[in-house]
Amino acid sequence: MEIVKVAALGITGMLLGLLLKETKPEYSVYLSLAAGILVFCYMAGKLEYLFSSVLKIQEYLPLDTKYLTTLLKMIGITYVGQFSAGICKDAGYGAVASQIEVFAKLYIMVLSIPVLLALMEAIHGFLT
Amino acid sequence: MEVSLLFKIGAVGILVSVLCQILKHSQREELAFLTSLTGLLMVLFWVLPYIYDLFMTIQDLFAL
Repeated sequence: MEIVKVAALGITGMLLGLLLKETKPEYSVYLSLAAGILVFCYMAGKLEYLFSSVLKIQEYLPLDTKYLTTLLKMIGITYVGQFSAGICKDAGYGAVASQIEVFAKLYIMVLSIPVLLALMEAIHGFLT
Repeated sequence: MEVSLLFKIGAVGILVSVLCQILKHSQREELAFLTSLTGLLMVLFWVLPYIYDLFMTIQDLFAL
């Protein structure tokens, strides 16, 4: 199944990386990057199917598409931030990794502000 | 494309480290440095299109 392929891919990448860790550490960073990208190739097809079905569900609900795209954006940002922070942590640069994660959190908060405002206005409308 | 990329990078890594050891022992440090640099650049040019594709798919998929 897919999961066996992905696991085998990750393990080969890790073994090759360990092989090269002492003599040439930069190649182990390349290997972890390449393994991450190849695993993402498997994920892309599944994500595509997931998002198309979510869009289909969304047609039945009288929901504003703006909120759904914000949600998708947030998922994308967390994924990219997590991936790049993990790569930096593997290479030993924890400070850079934490900077990336702080920026990702900040950006998600910025994205969530309009949704919050809309909620506030809705509540304000009820009360007055 | 799948696993062969990993094996290619591993092969280049091993080859470059062996070459550098040989060149170092024969007192040619600059050559050793040049071979490791070329190996690094070669792998970079292999991996770069994948990174570009990764970020393009993420942008399309997540509507960023």
